[in-house]
Amino acid sequence: MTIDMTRFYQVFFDEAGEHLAEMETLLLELDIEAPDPEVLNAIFRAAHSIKGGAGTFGFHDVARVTHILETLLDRLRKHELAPTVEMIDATLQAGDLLKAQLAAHQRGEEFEDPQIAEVCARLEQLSQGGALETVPEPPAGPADPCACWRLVFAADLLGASGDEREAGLAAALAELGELERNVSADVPSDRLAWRLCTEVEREAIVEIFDFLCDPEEVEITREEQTGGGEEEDGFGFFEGAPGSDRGANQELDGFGLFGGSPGMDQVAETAERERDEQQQGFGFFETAPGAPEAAPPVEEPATPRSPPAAEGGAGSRPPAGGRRQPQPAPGRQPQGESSIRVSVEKVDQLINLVGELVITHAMLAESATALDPVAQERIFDGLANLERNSRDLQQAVMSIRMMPISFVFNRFPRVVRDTASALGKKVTLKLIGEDTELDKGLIERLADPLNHLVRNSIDHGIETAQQRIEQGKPETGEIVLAASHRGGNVVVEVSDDGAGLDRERLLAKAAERGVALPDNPTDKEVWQLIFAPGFSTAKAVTDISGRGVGMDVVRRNIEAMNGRVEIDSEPGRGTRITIRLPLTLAILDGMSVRVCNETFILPLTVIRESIRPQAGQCKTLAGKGKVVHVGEEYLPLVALHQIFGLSRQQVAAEETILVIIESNEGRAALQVDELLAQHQVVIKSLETNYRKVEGISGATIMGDGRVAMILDVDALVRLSRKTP
Amino acid sequence: MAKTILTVDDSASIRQMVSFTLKEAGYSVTEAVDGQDGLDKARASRFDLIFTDQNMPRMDGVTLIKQLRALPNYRSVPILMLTTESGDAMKSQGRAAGATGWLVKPFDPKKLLEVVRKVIG
Amino acid sequence: MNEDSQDSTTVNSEDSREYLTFTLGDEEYGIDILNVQEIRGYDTVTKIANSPHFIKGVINMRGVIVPIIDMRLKFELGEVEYNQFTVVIILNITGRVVGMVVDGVSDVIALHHEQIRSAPEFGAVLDTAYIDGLATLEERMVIMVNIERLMNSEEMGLVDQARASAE
Repeated sequence: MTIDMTRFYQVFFDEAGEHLAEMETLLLELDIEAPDPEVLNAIFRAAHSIKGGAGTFGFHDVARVTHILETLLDRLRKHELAPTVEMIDATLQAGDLLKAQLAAHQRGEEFEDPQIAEVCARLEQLSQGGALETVPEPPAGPADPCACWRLVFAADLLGASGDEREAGLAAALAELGELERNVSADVPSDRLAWRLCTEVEREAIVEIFDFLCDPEEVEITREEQTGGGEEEDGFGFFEGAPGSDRGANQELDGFGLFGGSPGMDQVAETAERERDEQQQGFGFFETAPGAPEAAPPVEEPATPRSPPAAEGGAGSRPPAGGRRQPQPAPGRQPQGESSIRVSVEKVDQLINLVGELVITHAMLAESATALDPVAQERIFDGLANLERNSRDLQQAVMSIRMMPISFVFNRFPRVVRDTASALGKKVTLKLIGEDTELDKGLIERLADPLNHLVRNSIDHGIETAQQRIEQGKPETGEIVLAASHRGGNVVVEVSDDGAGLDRERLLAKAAERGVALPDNPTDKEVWQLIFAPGFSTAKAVTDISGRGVGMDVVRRNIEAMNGRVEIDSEPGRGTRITIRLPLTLAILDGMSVRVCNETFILPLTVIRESIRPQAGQCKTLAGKGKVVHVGEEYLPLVALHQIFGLSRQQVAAEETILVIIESNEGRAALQVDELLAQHQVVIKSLETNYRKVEGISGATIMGDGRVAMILDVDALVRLSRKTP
Repeated sequence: MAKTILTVDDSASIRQMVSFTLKEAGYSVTEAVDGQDGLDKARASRFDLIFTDQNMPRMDGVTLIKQLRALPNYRSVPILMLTTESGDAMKSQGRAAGATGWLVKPFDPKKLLEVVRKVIG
Repeated sequence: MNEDSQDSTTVNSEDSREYLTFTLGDEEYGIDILNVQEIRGYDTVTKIANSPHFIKGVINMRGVIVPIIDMRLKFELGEVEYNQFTVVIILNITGRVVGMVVDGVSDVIALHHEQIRSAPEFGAVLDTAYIDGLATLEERMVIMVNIERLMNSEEMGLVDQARASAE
């Protein structure tokens, strides 16, 4: 029977990823002074589980690293060793390597890096050294079900630095079991013969050689075991007297039964029956058909439906997603089978369908406007119900895609720890509102910008311990990552209690680079400078936040999520960066506006107010194009019909409507012909079948079935600068 | 009627592999995600064979075996420990708890089937 | 999708393929029927700002936003009218759905590979780069178009070229 092991790969990758993430979280939480035994156990269990799966599914490189890691963790949980910072570092590093290895396998490759050997050596050293008491390693001798292999290869096979590599090879092999070097003299003097007694498969041995040389050049032969009662596959086993099945220990290759234990009666019965069947079976071939009725012959298992594939072949890709997989929830508490794993595709399909339903309702409602509400009361009631139900359904479906922001926040304890230690700073991280939920798609896209902001805060915001002490601040700086829901938006804040932004320096830099700024710019306008391309506030360029590439990318990434960024900063007190995001990218609350004969959707979140301009309120300023005088300020006028090249008759400005919008490019006045209505619209991508259009963030389908474009106000304000 | 098997493992991939392999071979398989879940499911039904992992959250394999052996329905049902640990200490613990046998991880589907057939046919 | 349609030379000479033919100006063109999703009438479109004049806009086709190209405008084939006889061929080009307005749809024909001759340089409205060959059907000459290559080309402006080349 061949089972296609690749079908389980994706589940394994997922769960290994979860275990690694959990291991990392636990490690970072671990109090080295007073380690919680439960936490140590949980860390061990995570490594242990990965090892089990990796071995089973043939990812031997992963199994090897986890095995070494597990040895250390096992000693920690048994209190044979006390945890040290170094151990935690090495474990975290091993976790990173494992992630890389798994990622490589997922691509169907193998991750090869000299770091693996380094980290493994370090882990081994840590798990051996510094024992509280000298507990001897559990006898490294061959574990029970074990085979001995004879390895013969040319002495010069390992190339020039042969000795060193030979030692490395020996160490790696010794990992697998008991290694005896130079066992027999009956090989030519230019060849080496070793013996390895191990429980691992031949494959694993080949793999070790594969690291160093061509494994084809190595003779790996299995030695016949002498003495031990193990038979390779132990089929002859049941030949003993019937009663002995029950009482005797049965030990086979990697499997054993305890004689006399509960359940052995059943085993004995099975053996008995099998013997009978075998006899019957023999008879069956000689006697007439029909005889097998007496007892079914030993059946071969049903033919697997899956195509045969190399079992444990590390190179094959996992099958594409789309299967439902019963899974414990990725949280700390397994919840039985109360959750299922569903592919994102299926959820998105559901969201699309519900979107269609909402549109269909809108169409019906529009057609119904021609009816008499009194005479057709039932239709109107039905429509109202349909609207309510489809909204509820939409929300319920959307909530499937919602994930707590902890999925992205959880990486930051590590980021802060690593960044701070690389910079020699003392920084703690506080997480607030980790349970805040937002769309999965947004969560994934939030990780990079947040990562950049946090590292930037540590690098440029938080001062060195020395500086902090001098300023009478606590020695350790603090970064706060906070998330919350505010009025239909998700607000994520990254704040630090560092030095704050330096207004003068930013202004000087802006002057130096010729970045345009209004006269007497407000603080907010100055702070926004850090998002300008190529702007870096650090005096020295560091590896951590790079060369000022990035903050502009951060802003662009956030804009691409229909989000907005703001900065507050106070010298000496710190900086706070606020990101506002929509809850989801699937639906949008918008205002439909008419420009000429076209209908556009304007996101409600950007609208401040709308005004009907008075004569003389709009003017053209030299060098600034058209502006509108609103209150105290002159706002740039964004004339949609011009940007979109829509033909229209000359309309007096007083007959248009100005929508004052708040964009990442600052406030502006959007000139439209009419405000139509508020809608919740389903966002469709134009890029599915077309391409990106400047000034348009997507499209939606209106109640009459027609398509309307959704306006991208940031891009529009930028465009209006280019087309005066 | 197909023989029923309960597989208790906190690793979804191993559980699926075991479950899939045994189902393909015509057994009826139930999965449990940890010792506690295994105990609950065992109580709710009557299995012909139970596989359990050792290291699991909430309840480990040895505890599960002890608890199962205290149930009248499971006094003599074969219970095999499925575990990466092959050390003697673990084995004697398992034996003391009432395990029928053990199977070392990693194993392949072929091995698994061979063992299952040996035990329950 | 239809991988084998991308390279018609791999077609076994024994099996024939089906092509949809349509007219544009004075010429008759054939495209692989596997690229045709459906044929429909012309609906009002929503204009796309700053797009080439032959991209009429987008329509809603059961919830999918589909761009509509008027090939008559693209190839400057005289007066263009939109009425109840206007035909739109909805194409599926490796997963992307695009509508194409033509003068009329004429036929579905089955051709053997050897019935398609390679195209000499000739003065069709279409660049020879997008032409797979010529087929003669009774008295008619049908120009076999590589519709995938045409629709993915830069001059159609349907795809971001940076993205297209990355794909």
